[in-house]
Amino acid sequence: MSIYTFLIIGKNDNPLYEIEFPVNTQKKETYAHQYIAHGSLDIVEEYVWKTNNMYLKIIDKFNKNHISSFVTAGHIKFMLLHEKKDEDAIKNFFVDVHDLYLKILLNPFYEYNKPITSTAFDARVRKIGTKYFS
Amino acid sequence: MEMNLTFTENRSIKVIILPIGDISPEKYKEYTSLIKTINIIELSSITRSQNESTPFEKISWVDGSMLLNFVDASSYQRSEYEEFQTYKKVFGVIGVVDCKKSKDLMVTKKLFEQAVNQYPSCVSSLCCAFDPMDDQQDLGLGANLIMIPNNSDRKHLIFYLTTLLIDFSHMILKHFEKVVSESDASSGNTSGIGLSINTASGSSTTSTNNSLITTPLDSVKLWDEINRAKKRKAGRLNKCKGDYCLLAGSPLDAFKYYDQSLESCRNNSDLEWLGGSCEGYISAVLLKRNQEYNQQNHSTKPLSPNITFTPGGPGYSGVGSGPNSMSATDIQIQGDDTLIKDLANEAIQSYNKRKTVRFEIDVILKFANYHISMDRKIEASELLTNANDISWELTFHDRIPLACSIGLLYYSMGFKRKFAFYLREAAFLFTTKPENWEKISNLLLIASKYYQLDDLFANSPSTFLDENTNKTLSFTLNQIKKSNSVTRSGSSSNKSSPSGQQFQPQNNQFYPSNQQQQQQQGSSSKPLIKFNTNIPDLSIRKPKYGWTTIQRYIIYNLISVSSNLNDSLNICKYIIYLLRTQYKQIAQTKQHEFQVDLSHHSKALPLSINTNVHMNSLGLPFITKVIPMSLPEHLEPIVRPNTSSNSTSARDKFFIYSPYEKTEQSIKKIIWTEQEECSVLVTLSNPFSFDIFIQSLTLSTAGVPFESYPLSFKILSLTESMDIVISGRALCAGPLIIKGVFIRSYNLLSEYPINPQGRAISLNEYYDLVRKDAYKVEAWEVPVEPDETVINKIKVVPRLPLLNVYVPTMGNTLNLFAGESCTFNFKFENIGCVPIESIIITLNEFDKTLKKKVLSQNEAYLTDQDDESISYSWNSNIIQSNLPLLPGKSFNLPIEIFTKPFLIGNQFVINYYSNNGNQTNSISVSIPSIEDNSTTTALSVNNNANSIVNYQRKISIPLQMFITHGPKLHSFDIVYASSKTIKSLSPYLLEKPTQQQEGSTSLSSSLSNLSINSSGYLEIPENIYNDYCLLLFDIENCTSTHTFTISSQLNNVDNHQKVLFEKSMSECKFILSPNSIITIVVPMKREALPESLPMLRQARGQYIKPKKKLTEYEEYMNRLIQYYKDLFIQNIRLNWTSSDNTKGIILLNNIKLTPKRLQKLNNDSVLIEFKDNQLLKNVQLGEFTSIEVSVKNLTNQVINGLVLHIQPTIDQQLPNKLQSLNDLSKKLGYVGSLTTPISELQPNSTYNHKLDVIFFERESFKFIVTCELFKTKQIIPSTHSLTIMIN
Repeated sequence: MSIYTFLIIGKNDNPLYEIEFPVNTQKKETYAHQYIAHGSLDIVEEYVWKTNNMYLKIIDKFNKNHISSFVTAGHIKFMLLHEKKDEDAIKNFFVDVHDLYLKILLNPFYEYNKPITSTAFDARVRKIGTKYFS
Repeated sequence: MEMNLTFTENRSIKVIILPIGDISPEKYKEYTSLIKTINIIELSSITRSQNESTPFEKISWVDGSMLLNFVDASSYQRSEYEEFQTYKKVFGVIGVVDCKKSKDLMVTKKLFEQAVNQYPSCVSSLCCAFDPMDDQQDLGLGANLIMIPNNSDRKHLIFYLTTLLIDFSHMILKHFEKVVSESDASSGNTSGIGLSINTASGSSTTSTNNSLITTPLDSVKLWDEINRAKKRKAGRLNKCKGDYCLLAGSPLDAFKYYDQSLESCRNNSDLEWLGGSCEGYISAVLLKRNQEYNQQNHSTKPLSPNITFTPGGPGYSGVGSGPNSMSATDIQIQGDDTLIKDLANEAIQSYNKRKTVRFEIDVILKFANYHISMDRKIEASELLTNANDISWELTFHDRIPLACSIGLLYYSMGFKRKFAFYLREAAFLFTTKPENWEKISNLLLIASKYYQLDDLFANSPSTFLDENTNKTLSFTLNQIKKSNSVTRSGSSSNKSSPSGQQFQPQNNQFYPSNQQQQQQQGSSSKPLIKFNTNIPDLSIRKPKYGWTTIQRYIIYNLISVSSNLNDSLNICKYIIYLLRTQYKQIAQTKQHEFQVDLSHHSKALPLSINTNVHMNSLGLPFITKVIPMSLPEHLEPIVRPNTSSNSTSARDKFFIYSPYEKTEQSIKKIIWTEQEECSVLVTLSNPFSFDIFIQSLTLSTAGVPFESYPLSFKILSLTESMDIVISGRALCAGPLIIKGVFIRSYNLLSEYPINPQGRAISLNEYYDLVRKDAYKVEAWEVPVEPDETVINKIKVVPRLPLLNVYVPTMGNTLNLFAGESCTFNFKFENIGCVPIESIIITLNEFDKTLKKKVLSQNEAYLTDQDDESISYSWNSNIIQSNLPLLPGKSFNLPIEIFTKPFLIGNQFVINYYSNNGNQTNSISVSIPSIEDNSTTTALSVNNNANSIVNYQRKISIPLQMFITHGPKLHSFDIVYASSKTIKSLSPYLLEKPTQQQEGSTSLSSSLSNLSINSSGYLEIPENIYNDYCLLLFDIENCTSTHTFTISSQLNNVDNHQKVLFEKSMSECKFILSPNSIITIVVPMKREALPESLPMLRQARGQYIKPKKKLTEYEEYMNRLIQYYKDLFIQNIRLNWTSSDNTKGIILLNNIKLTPKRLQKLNNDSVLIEFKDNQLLKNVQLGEFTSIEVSVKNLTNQVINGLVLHIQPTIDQQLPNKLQSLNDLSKKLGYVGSLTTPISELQPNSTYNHKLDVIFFERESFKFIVTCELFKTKQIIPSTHSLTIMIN
């Protein structure tokens, strides 16, 4: 079963949120994926100025892992590591998560560019993840 | 596999540099760096004879150049594809000799020749003998060994070497010409072409047939294979010739051969040679472009800064084309670019088809490099990703440099995170070779910086790239030209070019693409560079965020690598860093493991290890704050007020209150004293799940020497905050700065810095402070900064004396009775080492609210002269006579108290000092006056730089009093008395004191509590006139515990005051039992009121004017009251002795004198008598009788306005017959008026008045006669009344 790792990266190169689909995978994989995602941030930052779209499609790959990205208007980067190339699902996933993220932003108790600790957000992202990636 | 591949590689001539003989690595590096600066040989500099013919028809002798690629012998690895990749052949060898070590040059020459023989393809050799000795002759050594003259001037040396290298290159060029012309000449003879090449190269390629050009990829064993090889030969030969043309610096000739080669290779499907030709072609295109730029540079002067095309070609010397040629150039650039892209893609495809992964990766890297130079990062990144994907087919040995190459290319694009990622990949590839732990460690260290772990290292290898400042250029051959500082291993020297040094690392992040252009534009781009450097370095200041998982694993890796290297220092460093930064993320068991590792490895380290220096980190535990504590109040040095400056400053202070002064006063700097213990509060925290034993905790200071007393203790696990007070002493006077604390734990010493506000700061912040000279003591010798928040700067003042004051009450509240007077001693002892030259005692009030409260309850006792703030008094001469007080000496000072009910005690403020040096002795007289906090105002720091600030010490002793009323004046009255009355009382007064004591109770009971002092004047005329009055003092014992013995003392009043108290009562004593009241009577002769009275004293609170102005009479009365009150208080002393044997007086301040009472003191001006002084008269009912009254003027003046009143009353003494006065008219009748005005009464004349009265009832009537002075409203009664009994 292919693994999807989703990360939200803040403006200052700081991870805000991280999740993996399916959820119960080995710990070791997670940090390897973080390394890949971290490296791809450079390319996201390059791509983001070349298009008007928020969804940047697959921007990078390493071995069998592909990295898709979605950059919000506030330059918050959504990164998804995946093995399967299923662009539609990924795009829909990003759009749905973006909706959720906007809702989080509207929360007066959430500070912009700070880690997202909301359990409701987490639960909904999981739901969206299972919807598209299982 | 080589790193840093570019298309430039294809046109550079490989030259090996060899160390010959004995030479130190440093010298070798120095000499080679000189040689490496001369990597471009202009063809124009090569001298050729006119007759010389060349096969390079289109070579540009003006703009062309040859590029030398110097390779250290150690890093050279011979390629088996030299035939295919001509640029990998070694054409020249340069030997480097240090003459100082290699004395015998003949031997050296032989050594060099032997070394050259190892490179069969070498066509030109040069041996440079540096630093020749005087005795070393260069004659007869042959042309190859050249002595380089001693010259300290680098410029001259380079010039000399350039000349040599031009000759050296000329040889190589000749060889190229020879090869190309020979092959051209024999182009008709197909059998001889390859021979010349193969012979020249001497390669070991597996060629079965000399006429064929083959590589290890070709198998030419079978017949059809040989046949195919023959077909392919023409294309391959042309490719080789093109390569030589390219190496010779003639791109146009190269095009000719490459075109033929490309066509031929395509036709014969000679894929790898097709790829090679494409590479060569691209290189030739780039070379051509460079030459054109050079050409334009010669022809056009102005340079345009807006160059967008910057090919990474090596010969490109950083100049742009003129504005006129821009459009043409652009078109050409685009054309070339398309061509290059097509060729590169064809090359990649060709290699791919041929499954030559190494060639494919090489060209991909070159192509990526080209993209980068064209600022096409995404394309470059895609290529690099592809390169990495196909690298699986390579061996581990090759994959490591590939990963590094990819990383470096990413770095040159400004993709630091990708760079770090690939470095980490390379490090992991290395793990297959256990001997490479050091390399792995270095790679991880470099990578770690870009995982936001840069604060882990102060001077780590990770900084090497940034120091070189440029990006793409660092890894292309162009770098060699621009900066000779970078060696192939990536190490750096400081000799980079000036323009290069201006680049700061952070610029790379913002302008990665422009960087190269700016570098190449040279001086023309300087303003732009300056602009860039002004941009705040946000990337460095950026706070650290997240990525804890990545960081944790990087540090785990670093720890395991260090464990393999047995590097205890680094293990400790990483563990400490990890624990400090990620203790929240690390599980408790893991923390314990780390702690065990840390304690194990730290034992192996020497004691001198300082974590700040060796680990660029603080140790364990954490420090929250360090706050110096001021000395206790009684030891705190305070600024001695300067008498002269005070007077001037007082004059300056125009306003009583100024808000500015207030702010100044609030600044309170900590002052410590030399050689005296002072303390600092340190707050630590241990958030870890293990206990930390602190071996020592001491203070880190700057400024004057300071001895800190170490402290050793344990902080338990998960301690959020722990306060520890450490102490020390300053060894001499001067400025002192608290930099932080030293903590030794786990054998490691750390210096924890603090900011000026006492908060713990990171090392970087500390270095910032150091850079700002925050720890320079000269800067604040005179405290110039009024910043209140700065607490770490402390002034240490010279030794001050130490005074000890013993107070018998121990500072407790004194319980006293009002009016009590007592004395106790203060013992002053000098317990310091310095003589005390001045002791000044002042009194301060300490509780205003209490004072107000007590005062309001006892207002009656407060007189105008009283100061409600002063409770104590002493003789200041005693202090002065004991000064200077030498060390160890002591003296007693009696303190006297006279209590008044409104007093609450005082705070003793004892200021003392010694005059150090040549200071003049100040007056040390204590003035017992209130100094409304004047001493505390002296705390304000004197900012005047010129004045010498002296210090003194202050002891404050609060001494509160609780005053209760013991014997208290309960009430006061004045009654008339005649001398007869006084005489009649004399039997009681003549009693002896002892008897009186016994009989006092009986007396008081029999005479209605009237204890009487009678006059001792025996000759008092016995009359019944009211020429005396009695002052009645009701004394109440307010206590239930004490019995008081009261004695009175009357002062003899002088004649002037004309007041006579009748007897001195010094011997008389009365007992006042608890809760009882006795009356003390003082007889006083009535005298005329004094004529002259002292002025009325102004009321307290003189600013408040009375609302109503007093009338003349009221004022007179007030003055009178004031006079008599003073008189009584001064002259009547009622002393008491309590059962506790304490002594005091009864305070008479609360006596109430009214105008009426005052009249009683005045002697009567008129005498009113009934005829014959008749007291009783019997009258018949219904019969007229006359009451005769005479009024006599006793004064010498005429009295005007007298009114005589005759008041009949029913005798009250007869009970049961009480009737109201209204009924009186029914009981008696009279002829005339009861009120008779007397208009004038002459002196000593008598006015007789007669009133006829008739009585209607049998009653006892009493007639009272009074005379009212109309003017003063004084009512003078008759001495007695007349009682008329009705029969």
